[in-house]
Amino acid sequence: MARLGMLIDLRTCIGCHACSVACKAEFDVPLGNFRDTVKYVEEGAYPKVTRHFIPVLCNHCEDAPCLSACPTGAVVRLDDGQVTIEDGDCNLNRACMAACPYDAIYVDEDRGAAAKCTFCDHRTAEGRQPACVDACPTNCRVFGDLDDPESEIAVRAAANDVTVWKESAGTRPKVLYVDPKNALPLIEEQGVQVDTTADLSGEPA
Amino acid sequence: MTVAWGPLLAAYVVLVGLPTGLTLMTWWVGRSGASVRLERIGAWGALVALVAISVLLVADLGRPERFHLMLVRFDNLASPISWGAKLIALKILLLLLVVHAVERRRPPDRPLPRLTKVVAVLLLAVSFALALYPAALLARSWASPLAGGAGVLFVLTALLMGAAVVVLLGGEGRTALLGLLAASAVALAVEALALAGRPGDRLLLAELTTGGSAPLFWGVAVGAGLLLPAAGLLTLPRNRVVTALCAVAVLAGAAATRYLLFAVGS
Repeated sequence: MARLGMLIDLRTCIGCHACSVACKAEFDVPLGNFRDTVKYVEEGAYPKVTRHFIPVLCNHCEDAPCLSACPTGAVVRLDDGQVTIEDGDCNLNRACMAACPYDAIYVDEDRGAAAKCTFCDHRTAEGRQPACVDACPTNCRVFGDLDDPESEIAVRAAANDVTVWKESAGTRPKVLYVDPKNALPLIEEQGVQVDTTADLSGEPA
Repeated sequence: MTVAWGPLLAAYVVLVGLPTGLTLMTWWVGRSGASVRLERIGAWGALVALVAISVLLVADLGRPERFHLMLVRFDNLASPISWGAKLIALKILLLLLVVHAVERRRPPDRPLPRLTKVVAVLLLAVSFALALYPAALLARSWASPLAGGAGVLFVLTALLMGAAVVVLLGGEGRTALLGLLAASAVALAVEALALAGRPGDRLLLAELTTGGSAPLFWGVAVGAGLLLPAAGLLTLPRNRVVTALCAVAVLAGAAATRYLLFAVGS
C-alpha cells in the first residue's frame, strides 16, 4: 500500500489561490468554509518586511486526532493513508472538529456532514493528481507516495530540509513543507478555516 | 480556530453533574438506612434530569436523526463520545429499573430486593464514570485546554450539586456538603498550582484569575460557591433558611466551575 502525502515548497508559492479556487470548484465548498487555502503572513518591520504565502489543508495525519475522536466511525483512513469522512455515518457531533489542531474540518450544511480535504481520493483513485496540485502554476505542490523512494515527493523530501505544521501537536502530518524562511511558526495559532467574522455581509447598507 | 462546541454542549457539561451527583449523594446519605422519600426522589430526579440532558445532547447534533449511531457503533471505542453516549443510555436503563423497583415495593419502606441492589451498585459505578467523563471529552478538544486534567474537579462539582439538592430536599447532607466544599477548595488550589508552570497554562490561569473570566471565577465559583456556603453552614448550622440558601449558592458555584472548565481558553 502507498503512503500518500503532499510536499509544499514555500520557496515557489506565489499566493495566487489557484489551489483554493480549484478545491472550491472540485467540491463545491460552501462560502466561508475551506478545505484548502493560502495564508498570507507578514513578518518584520518597515523597511525589512517579508510576506509569506503558506498553503494549508488537512494534514492526513499518521496519528489523526479526528479519527480517534469520532464516535460513529464516520472518519476513516483509506488504504493509501488518506483520512476521509463518510457522509452517511456522520451525525455532526463535531468531535472531529474539536479534536483537529489544524481546524481543517468544517460543517457542510448542504451535505449535512462534517467535511474536509480528502486528497481528492476520487481523482487519485483514477491515477490523476489532486485538483490543487493540478492547478498550481509554480508546481509548489507535489503529491505522491512517501514510501516510494523513486517518487518525486520522496526524492524532493530527501533532497530538502522538510518540516511540518504544528509539529508539537504530535500528529505526524503527511503534508510536508520546504520552509527555509521558517514561516510555519507564524501560523502556529491559526487553522485552515478563515476567520470571517469581520467580513461585511455584502448587503447594501 | 473554529469553536466546534457551543452553548448546548456547555449546558450539557454543566448540567450533567446534577443527575450524577444526585445518584451518588442519595446513595451516600441514605446508605445507613435509606430515607424512602429521598431514595424515590433521587431516582426519579436523576432519571428526569438525565433524559432532559440527553434531549439537549441530541438537539446539539447537526443530524439529530442519526444520534443512534453513537449507541450502536462499537468500531471506535477510542472516542470519548462513543463511551459517553453508551454510559448515558446505560444509566437511563439502570435508573428505569431502580425507579420500577422503588415504585413497586409494598410496603414502601420495605428493603429493595437483592437484584435491585446489584443494579444500584452498577448505577453507582456508571454514575462515577459519567462524573469523570467530561474531563475525557474535553481533553480531546483544542478549545477546552483547562478541562484536560480536571477530572477531580468534575467529580467534586457533581457531588456538590448532588449534595446541594439533597439538602434542598430536606435530607441530611450538611456534613457531606462541608466536606465536599473543603475538598473542592483544595482541588481548585492544586489545579491552580498545576497551571502555574508552563507559559500557555499560565495564560489560562491569568484569564481565570485576572482576565475576562475572573468575575465568574472569584464571584460565583469561589465566593458564592465555596466561601459563603462554608461560612453559612459553619456559623448557622441549625438555620434551615440559611442552609437552603447555602445549597443554592453551592449549586451556582459548582455550575460556574464546570462552565469555566469548558469555556476558558476556547
